[in-house]
Amino acid sequence: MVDAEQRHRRILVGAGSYADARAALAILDRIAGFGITDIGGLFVEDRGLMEAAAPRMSALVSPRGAIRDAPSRQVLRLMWQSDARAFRDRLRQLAARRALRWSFDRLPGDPVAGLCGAAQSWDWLLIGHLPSGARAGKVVGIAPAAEGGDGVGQLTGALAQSLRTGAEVIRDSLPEDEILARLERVHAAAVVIDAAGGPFRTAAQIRALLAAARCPVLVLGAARIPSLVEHSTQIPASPQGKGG
Amino acid sequence: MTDHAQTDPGQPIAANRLRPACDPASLGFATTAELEPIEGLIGQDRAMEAIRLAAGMRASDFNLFVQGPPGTGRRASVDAFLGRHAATLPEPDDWAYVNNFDAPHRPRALRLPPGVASKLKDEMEDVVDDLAIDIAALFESDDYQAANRAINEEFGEQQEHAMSEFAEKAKSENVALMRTPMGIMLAAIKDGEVVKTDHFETLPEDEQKQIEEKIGRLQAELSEILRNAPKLDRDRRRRIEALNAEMLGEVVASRLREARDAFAGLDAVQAYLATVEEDLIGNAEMFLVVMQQQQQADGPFPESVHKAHSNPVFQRYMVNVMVTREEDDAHGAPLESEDLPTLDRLTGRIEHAQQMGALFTNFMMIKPGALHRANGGYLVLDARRLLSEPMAWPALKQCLQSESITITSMGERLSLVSTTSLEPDPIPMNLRVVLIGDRMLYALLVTLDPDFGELFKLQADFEESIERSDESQALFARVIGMRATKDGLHPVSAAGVARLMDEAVRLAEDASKLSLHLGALGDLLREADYYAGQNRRDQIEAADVDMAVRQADRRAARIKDRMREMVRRKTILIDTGGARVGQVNGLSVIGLGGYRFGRPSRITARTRMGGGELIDIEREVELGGPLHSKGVLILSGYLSATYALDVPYSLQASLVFEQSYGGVDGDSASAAELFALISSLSGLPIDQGFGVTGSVNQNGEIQAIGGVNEKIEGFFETCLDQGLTGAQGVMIPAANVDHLMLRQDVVDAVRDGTFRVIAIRTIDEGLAVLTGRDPGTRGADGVYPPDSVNGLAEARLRGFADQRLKFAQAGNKPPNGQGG
Repeated sequence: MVDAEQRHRRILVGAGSYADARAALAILDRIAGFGITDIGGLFVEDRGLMEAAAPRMSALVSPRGAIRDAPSRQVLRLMWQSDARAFRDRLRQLAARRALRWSFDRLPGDPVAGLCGAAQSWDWLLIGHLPSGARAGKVVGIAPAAEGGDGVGQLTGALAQSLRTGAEVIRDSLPEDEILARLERVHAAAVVIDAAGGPFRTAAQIRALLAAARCPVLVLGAARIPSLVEHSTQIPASPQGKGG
Repeated sequence: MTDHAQTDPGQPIAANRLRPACDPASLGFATTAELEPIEGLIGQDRAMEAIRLAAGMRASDFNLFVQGPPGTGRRASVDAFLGRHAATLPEPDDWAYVNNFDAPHRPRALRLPPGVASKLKDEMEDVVDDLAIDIAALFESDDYQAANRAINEEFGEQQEHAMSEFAEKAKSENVALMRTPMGIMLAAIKDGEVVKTDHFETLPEDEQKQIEEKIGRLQAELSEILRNAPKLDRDRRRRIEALNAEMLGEVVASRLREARDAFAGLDAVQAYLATVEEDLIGNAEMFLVVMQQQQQADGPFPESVHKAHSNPVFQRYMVNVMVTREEDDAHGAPLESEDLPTLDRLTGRIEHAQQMGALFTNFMMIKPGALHRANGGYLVLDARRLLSEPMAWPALKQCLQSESITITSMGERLSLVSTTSLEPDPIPMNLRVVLIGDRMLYALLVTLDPDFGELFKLQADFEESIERSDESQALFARVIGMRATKDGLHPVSAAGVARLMDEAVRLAEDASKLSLHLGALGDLLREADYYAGQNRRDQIEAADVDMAVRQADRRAARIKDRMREMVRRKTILIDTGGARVGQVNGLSVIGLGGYRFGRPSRITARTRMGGGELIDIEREVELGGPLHSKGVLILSGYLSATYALDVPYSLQASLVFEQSYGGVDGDSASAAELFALISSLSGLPIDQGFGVTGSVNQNGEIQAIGGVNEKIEGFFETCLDQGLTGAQGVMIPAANVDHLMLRQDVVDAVRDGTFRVIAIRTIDEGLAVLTGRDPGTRGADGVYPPDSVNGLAEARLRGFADQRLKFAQAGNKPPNGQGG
């Protein structure tokens, strides 16, 4: 059950760029009252970009639609460094304002898989993604027909109210493709799922969900996501008493 | 009252003429309680006619300058008369400033019927308060939310649809969309994997080109989709605005319809409300923002308690009342005054507030000035204060000339500050300005300011005194009675009134007049009332007035007493007995504020052969003023035209006020100086028991001087200190006899024969008194009797001429280079 009374909830916020992170932190700010005591930040550096970024075989389009050449490796490194610092600062500020414990780390690898792996020791996972459009879309929850104890529907409604936008709950009994097709068409501010009970449980499914939704995805029951990586020293340690 | 022709020249004046006191028995009442109160002033008919004319004239340039000395009741009579007249005039319109929605820096002035401005202000506050609730309710309503959501979703889905289609297309063409800190990167996919750089180089050229073309094409498409997003968002906003306008229009129009009905028939208000309606619909979201803020900030307070109009955001819809008439205000036109007529207080001001280190202002920060308050009526100002305030006089003139009130700050006029300011609509002005000042100010303004005569065409000149007659004394008694009643004092007995009139005569410096300086007499009356109270009397008696006069004199007399002490101790040398050649007691008056006293000064003259030069030592050391110098030069003219007319004027003489270390001005000592000179020439001593005052002309006639009472009393006190002998006295111009109102102790001394006051008309009459010898007149042979004063003086001058001739014949250069 998700409510403000529940305490000691820990959430990991992950993103591969500052723009994505900012969108995720905006959502986090709205749900901080739901018993969240610890927040972790994880900046995932998709090293595959380095391999793919080269003239002729790749190209870049900025969020505002400007056409640019694919970035060089050096530029990518600098941008990751800069975005990670900005992400960390923003996270720290939010934690200070909300009196939360916080930690932050950087991780190379696939953004979604890396985050899903790192989220094993966290209650919730919030994956950053800059939504399209200037105005917040609706909050979409993927939940069972009869709301059980997973709290997706409740959190979806609360988040939508906080954002002064609409909420839509898609039944998780629908086929996965249908859900994704629906998400492709919806202008969403955030999507809320439960990895413990819903249809999207693996990193691959969540990656597909993220690609369809094109907005931050809040994954409840993050510890239930099957781990592809049994152990990594780069996963942020538990933030007990650690101030960044 | 008196005729100086009745006085025998050179003879002591009778005691009863030294103090022509008012006889209480002639007044015909016991106390002022019996008298009918009197309204207004006495003896100011000329001034009151001018005030009456100014009150009645509606031409803008017939403003009034009230001139006269303070204490003559100028202000009170202006206030009283204009106040009565203003009450008969129609109430002027209200004025208010409202926001100019098209150009906020130029607030609009609204002219409204009396009392309407404050109603409009209240109505607009209610409009905002009501709309804050109605609009918030509208935005929260299901209807609005549904419509709003439909628009948002429609546009959101348009964008998502485009992105979705593109993502599908990219996928179908084996292109991956990878998120980077700089944006979305398109990369080719082969065999389910993103093509790496090394791999790409190994691909056939055709395939490389194919990938290159595909990436380029999709990049352009993605760019187009992302570039289109802001346009879609703009379209969405316009649709939302149109929705707001449609739904808000009904809410706003409904509420403003009530406001319009409340001000039906007022075109200015109707036009204003139309602009308000338009702006309200265009800016309705501010109501939502404010309501959200209030909900967060004032949790415990119910929504209905909120007064949205107090929020600065809604100031744009408020009404800034410049001037209005409340129901309980006095009816008629306003009569206003401004005791501190600074530029700001006169024309109003535009205040600024500090915000984030910068100054800002708006139409609600326009504050009215005295001109706004007095518009349609009268504004009374003190001229000296007005002229001493920087820029206030030019601003007042500008407003009078343009017949409108324009608010401009001093900093703006002097270009001292550069900040955002306003240009409010000028407010048409129709008022009479009344300036109150002294005659000097009036003369300066008339002389130096060409605009003054154009704008202030009327003057009310207040008299300082009134002719003394039985009728005027009766009126004066009623004025005293009225003043006592008004100030809550005891009634004044007939003797008390008579004693006050004696003081009024003394203030007027003329026994035939009564002073109209009612302020000074009022002060005396109040102090006398205090002593009457101390003596447990039910009415103010002459003794109380007398006590008040003495105490006032005593409080102010420290310097006089110190001077008397110095004379008594011979620090200052004054002889009041014996006879000395070339030495006479001149009399002068020292004034400190409202207090004046007389004192004797020893004047000495020395003569010898010379080139006709009369040296005024006071002038030489720049202690003598121009009037004194003029008097001394007249002496030279008198001497040269009176004595030894057939020989060159061969006198060198010097004159000095002994032990005078301050300045000397005025010509009232010129007669005394001439007596000293003639004494020196003739070698005849002057009786030092006399003090002498009077000016002299070139014909030897003695002319009137000022302060005659104080001078006589000053010399009397010196004689008193040194011992009255009965041979002492003061010689005054005969023309001053009518001005006598001496203290009772001086009069008593004269009556007892221990002191004298002698009036003279000519120098010869004075010489006879001072030397005890016949001054002498020219005989048929044109020669003065040899033993006469004039004969001796002339002989001495002839001697100088002979001496000078001999000196020149001996081959010496004549004194001062003049021919003999």
